Amino acid sequence: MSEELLRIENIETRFRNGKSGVATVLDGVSITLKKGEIIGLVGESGSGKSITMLSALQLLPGNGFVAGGNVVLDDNGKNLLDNKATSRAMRKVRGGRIGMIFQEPMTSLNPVMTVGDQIAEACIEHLKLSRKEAKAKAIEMMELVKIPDAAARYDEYPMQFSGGMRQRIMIAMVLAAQPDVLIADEATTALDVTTQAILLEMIKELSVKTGIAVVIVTHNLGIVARYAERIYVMYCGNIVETGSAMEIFHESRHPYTRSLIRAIPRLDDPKDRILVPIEGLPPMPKNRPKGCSFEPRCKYACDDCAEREKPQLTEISPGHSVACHLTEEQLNEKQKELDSTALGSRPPKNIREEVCLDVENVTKSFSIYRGMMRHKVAEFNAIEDISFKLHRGETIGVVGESGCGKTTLARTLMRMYTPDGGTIKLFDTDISHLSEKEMRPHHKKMAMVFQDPSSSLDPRMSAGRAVAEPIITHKICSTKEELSAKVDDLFRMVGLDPNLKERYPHEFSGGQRQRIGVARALASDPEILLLDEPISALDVSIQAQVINLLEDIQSKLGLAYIFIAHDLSVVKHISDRVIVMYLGRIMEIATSDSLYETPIHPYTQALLSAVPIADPAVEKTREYIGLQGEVPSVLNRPKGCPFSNRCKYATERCLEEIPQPTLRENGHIVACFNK
Amino acid sequence: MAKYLLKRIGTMIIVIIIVSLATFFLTNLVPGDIVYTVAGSDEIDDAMYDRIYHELNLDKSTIERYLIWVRNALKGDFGMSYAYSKPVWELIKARIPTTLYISIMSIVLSVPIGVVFGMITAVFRKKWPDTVFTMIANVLNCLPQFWIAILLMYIFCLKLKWLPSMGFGFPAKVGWPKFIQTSIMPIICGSLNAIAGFTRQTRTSMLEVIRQDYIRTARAKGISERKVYFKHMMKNGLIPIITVLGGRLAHILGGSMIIENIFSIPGMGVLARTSVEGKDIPTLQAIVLITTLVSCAAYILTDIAYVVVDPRISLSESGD
Amino acid sequence: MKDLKDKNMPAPVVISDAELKRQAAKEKRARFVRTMFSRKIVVIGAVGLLFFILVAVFAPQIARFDPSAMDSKAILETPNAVHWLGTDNYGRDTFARLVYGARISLIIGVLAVAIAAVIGISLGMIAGYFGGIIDMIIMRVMEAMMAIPALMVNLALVAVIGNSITDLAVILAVTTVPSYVRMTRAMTLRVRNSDYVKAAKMAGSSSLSILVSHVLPNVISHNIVQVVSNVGGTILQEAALSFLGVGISIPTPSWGTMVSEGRNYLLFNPTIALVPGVCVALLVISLNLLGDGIRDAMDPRLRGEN
Repeated sequence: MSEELLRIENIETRFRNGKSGVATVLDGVSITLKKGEIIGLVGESGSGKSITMLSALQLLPGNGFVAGGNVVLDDNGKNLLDNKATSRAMRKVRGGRIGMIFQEPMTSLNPVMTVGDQIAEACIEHLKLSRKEAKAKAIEMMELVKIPDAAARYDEYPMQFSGGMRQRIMIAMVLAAQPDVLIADEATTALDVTTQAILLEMIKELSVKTGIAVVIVTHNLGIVARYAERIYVMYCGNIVETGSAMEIFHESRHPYTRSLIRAIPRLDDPKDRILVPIEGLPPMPKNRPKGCSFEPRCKYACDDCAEREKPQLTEISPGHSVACHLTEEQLNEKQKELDSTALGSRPPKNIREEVCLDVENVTKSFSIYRGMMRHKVAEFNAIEDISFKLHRGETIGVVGESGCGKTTLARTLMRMYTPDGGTIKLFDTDISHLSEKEMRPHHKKMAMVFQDPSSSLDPRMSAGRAVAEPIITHKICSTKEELSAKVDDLFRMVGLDPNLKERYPHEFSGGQRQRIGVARALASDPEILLLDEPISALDVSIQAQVINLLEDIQSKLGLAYIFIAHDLSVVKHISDRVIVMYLGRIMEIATSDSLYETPIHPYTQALLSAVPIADPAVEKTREYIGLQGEVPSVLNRPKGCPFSNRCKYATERCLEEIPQPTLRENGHIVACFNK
Repeated sequence: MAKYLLKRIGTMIIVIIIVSLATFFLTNLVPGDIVYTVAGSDEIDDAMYDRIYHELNLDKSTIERYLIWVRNALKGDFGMSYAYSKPVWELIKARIPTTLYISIMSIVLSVPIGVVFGMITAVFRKKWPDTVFTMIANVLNCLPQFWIAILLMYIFCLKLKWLPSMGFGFPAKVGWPKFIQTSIMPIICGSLNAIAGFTRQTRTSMLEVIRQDYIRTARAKGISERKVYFKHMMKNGLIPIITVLGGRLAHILGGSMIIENIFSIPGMGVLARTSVEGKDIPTLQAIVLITTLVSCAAYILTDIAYVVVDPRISLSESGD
Repeated sequence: MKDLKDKNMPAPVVISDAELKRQAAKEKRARFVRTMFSRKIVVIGAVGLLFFILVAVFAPQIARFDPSAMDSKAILETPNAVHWLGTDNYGRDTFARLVYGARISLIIGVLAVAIAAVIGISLGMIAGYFGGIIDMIIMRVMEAMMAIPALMVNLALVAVIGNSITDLAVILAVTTVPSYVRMTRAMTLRVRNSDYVKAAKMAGSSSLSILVSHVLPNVISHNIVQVVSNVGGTILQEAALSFLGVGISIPTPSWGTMVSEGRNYLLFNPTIALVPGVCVALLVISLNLLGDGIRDAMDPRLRGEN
C-alpha cells in the first residue's frame, strides 16, 4: 500500500498580471501521494491549494503558467510537465489517471449538454467504448453514486438536478474513466452539511472499495481531520507543514497550523472557550515578504524571523515536516507565554429576564404564480409555527440547511415580509402587521447584519456615509459634528480606523467590510441585532476576528443577538440557546451545551453527527449517523412531520400528523413524537 | 415552452398595435393640407377639394379613420399612393423580393465569416490574429456604411470598371450575368458591417464561455481541444449570436435602405425615402407597419431558436 | 484587534476632516485618470476627440473660405494651393465645409444623446423602481420603438417634425431612448433588490431617499460609458440621414450631406465624397476608444490591478 503514485515536486506557478508583471503564486510546492490513501490539502483562500492541483494537471487559467518543477506519475521518472497542456499524453493523464471534481456544482457542468452525455464522453475518451457501451457505463456510474432512476435521468440537463445531485454526477463522471487519483477541490463546500457528509462518506467508501487515492482540497479543518490520513497545510503558496492527521492536530510545529486550530470554533468546545484570531490578512502574492510569509501575522515570531531567509520544509520526524525557523523549545516557550497572557475568560453574560422579542406561531407563506394571467399554482409555507422568546442580552442561534426558512424567518422578523399568522412582539408592541411607515421608528431598535459584506454595501457610497445613513434617517444626531463624532466612535468600536471613512467598499477587505456592516447596524443604537450568516463569506482566520468582535460588542452594550448560520460549530460557539430548523419548522430548541451533548430530535442528531470536528482523535470515537437522500424542497414537504421521510424512527403517526414542540428533558423543546 | 412562446406572441401583438397607432397618428401630423398633396396641385376648385376631402374620410374623426385604416390594412388594402397613384400594396409587393434578396444574401454571407473570424480571435486571444481581426472589426464598426459603399463603388465600378455601379434586376428581366454582376457590390457592402458585428459578438461570447467552470471540467476530463471548442464551447457561445442574428433578421426589410439608395436598387428602402420626400403618407404608413410585422416575426423566430438551442429556457418554464 | 497589521491602514495622523476628504477625492480622481490613460489607445482617442472639438470651436479661424460661399469660377476643382481639398459642384471650398461640418456632427451628437439619456434614465428608473402597470406600458412602448429599424423611424419622423438642428437632435434621441431605458431599468432592478437597499429600508429609509442616495448614483455611473459611445453612434446615424438627403437642410454643411452630394462627382474629384466619411470614422473611433477607457477605469476590478 505504500507504493508511490503521484509526486509533485517543487512546483512553481506564476500569474501574469496585466503589464505590471508576474506574481509568484506557488513557490516550490511538493506533495506525494501513495496508492489508495486519502490526503488533505488545507489552506485559506489564496493559499494556492487549488492552484497546486490545477498546475499539476496543466489546467491553469490563461494568465497562469508553471515556471518550474516536476510532476511524476507511478515513479517512472518522466516529468508530466514536459508534455504540452493539450498533448495526447497529458490528456490521457487528465481524466484517465487523475480525475478532478470542482467546487461549484452549479457551474461546473455544461448547461446545454445532458448529464448522461457528459458522463459518457469521459468513457468514450478514456475507455474507448462505443456510444452504446458508454451509455450503459454512464448509467452504471450514476447508479453507483446513488442517483435514483439513473436510466431515466440520463437525458436530463444539469439544471434539473439539485446541487448535491450535480456533485454526484461530477463524481460519476470522474470515476467513469477509472482513474487512480481523485482530486476533490472544495467539492462539498457549497453543499449542506448533511449532503456534504453523505458525499464524503461515499468518496471514502469508494476509495476503500476501488483503491482510488483521494486528495481532499479544502479550507475546512474538520473535514481533513475526519477523512485524511496525511495532511498538507498551505499558506501563501508554500507548504508550511505536513504530517499525519494526528501530528498536524496534536503535535503541530508550525505557528500557522497552531494558530489556525486555535482560531476555529469546534462543536465540542467548552462553553467559555475564547477564539484566538490570527490578526491581519494574508499578503497578496506580489506583496509577500522575502522571508517567512507568515512572519507578519505570527505571534510566535522571534526578532530575527523577519531578517532571515525563507524557511525550508525540513523533516523533524519521519513523515512530519515543518517550514519554520523556530525550534521546538522556542515554540513551546512562546506558547506558554501566550497562554499566560491570554485574554482570560470573558466576563459572564448578563442575560436579563426581560423579553425583548416575543415570537409566537409565526407563519409566512409564499405563492408561486405562473402563466400569462399570473394565476396561483401553488402556495407553501416557508416558515410555520415559529415561536420563541429572546431575552435581553441573550444570543439565540438559528441553524438549518438550505430551505429550512432561516432567512425567511430573519426577513419576517425584520418585517421585510408580513407574516401570514402569529405575532411578533418587540418589547411591548406587536409589530407583525404594522405598515411600512409605522414600522420605521421600530427599525431603530432592531438592526440587521447581512451575509455578504460586498453586496450589502452600496459600491458608490463611502463607508462613513453608509454607517451614517441610519443615524440620519432616525435623526439621532442634531449637528454635523455630532454625527461625525458618532460615526468615528462606531468605526472605533468595530476596530476600524476612522480615517478610512472616506473610502469606498471595494477598497476594504472582506473582514473589514463586515465590520462596516456591523457598524452600520449599531448606528441606530439598537437593542437587538439580527445577524444573517454574518461570517460565512469570510475566510477561516478572519471569521474568528469577527466572532470575537461580536462577542465583545455584546458584552459591552448588552445587546440581544439572533445569529443565523448554517455552520453549527460557529452557532454553538456564539449562542446561549440554539434553534434547529428543518423545512420551515422548529425541530428543537436547547441551550447550546446540552444541544451538543444530548440532542433529542433525530434530525438534530443526524445534523450534529454530520459536522466534522477538527480533531482526528475525537473523530475516531464519533459515530456518523447516515441520512437517506437530500433535503427536499419546501414545496414537497411531507404531510406529517417534515423530517418523516428521512427519519429512521418514523412511524405511521409521523407521516400523518405534525408533532408540536413540547418541553422535554434538560429543558429542550422538541417537536417529535418519539419518546 | 408553448406558454412561453404564446406570451412572447402576445407581447408582439401589443407592440404591433402600439406601432400602428403611432404611425397612424404621427403621420397625421405632417404639416400641410393633405388634400392638396393628393390632388398634386394647390389650384383646385372647392368641389374637387370636397370630393378628395370626402374620399380621404377627413370628415370622420381620427379614431374612426384609424379603425377604417386598420380594417383595410388587415385585408391588405393600404390605400392609394399619393405619389404613384397606384395601390400601395402593389408598390410594396413589387419591391419586397429585391430587398429580401439583398438582405438575406448579406446575412448568409456575414454569419459564417463573422463567426469564423470571431472564433479565430477568441482562440488566438492576445496574439496577432486577434489583434488584426479585432482591429478590422472595430474600424468597420465605426465606418459609415454609405462611405464604405461609395469607396468600393469608386474603386471597383468607376476606376477598375469591373462591375456596374447600378441597374440591379432579377434574371428574368436582365438575364443572369447582369443579375450576378449587379448583386456583388450591394451584397458585399451590406454584409461588411454585419461581419464586424458577428465577429465582435462571437469573440465576446466565446471569451465569456472560455472562462466558465464547465470548460475547465471538460478539459479536466481529458478530451481533445477540438472537442472542447466544437462540442462544449460552440453551443454555449453561439446562444448570444442568435440575438445578433435576430436583430439582423428583424431589419431584413428596413435595414438595406442605404445600400439600395447608393446602388439604385428598386427596393423598400428607396420607396421609403421617396415616400418621405413626396409626403406619400399611405405608402409610408404601410412600409412602417409591414416592417414592424416582419421584425416581430423575426423576434419570435429568435425566441423559438433560443428554446431549441438552450434547454434551460423551456425547463425554467416562466419566461421572465 | 487594535493592532491590525493591515496594509490598507495608514498610520493614524491627525488631519482635519475636510482635508482628509479633499485628499481622498483627489487621490481617487488621480487614480481614475491614471487608469484611464494607462493605455495608449485611450490617449489616442482623447487626443482625437480634443482635436475635433478644437476644430469645431475655431472653425472660422481655421477655414479660409465661407463654407456656403459659391464660386462659379472654381467648380469641382481638385485639391490645390487655394482650395486645399478642392471644391464641389457649386464651387464651395471642401475644406471649409469639412471644418464647419465638425460643428454639426458634434452638436447634434451631444445634444441628441443628452436628450435621450435624461429621458431614458428617468423612464428606466420609474419602470424599474415602481414596476407593475407603469413598467409594462413603458417597456412595451420601448419594444415597439425598437421593432422598426432606427433609420426608418428617423426618416418617418423627419417627414413629420422637420429637419432643423434641434429637430434632428430630438429625432435621433427618439431612437436612442430605448437602450437607456432598458439599461437603467435593469440596473434599477438590481439595486432595488440588493442587500444594501434592504439594509437601508431596514434602517427606516423612505423610497425617495433610496432612489436618490442609492439608485441614482449607481444608475448614472453605469450609464456614462453608454453615453460616450452613443455620441459616436448618433453621429453615424446623423451622417446616414444626411446622406439619404433628409438630414440638416441643404446649405448647412454636414459630413453626410457632403458624401451624398460628392458621390455624383466621384470621377472628377473623389476627395469631396471620401474625406468627410473619413472624418466621421475618425471622430467615432476616438469616441469609442475613449468610451472603452472610461469603462475600464470605472471597473474596480481592473482598477485594482494596475
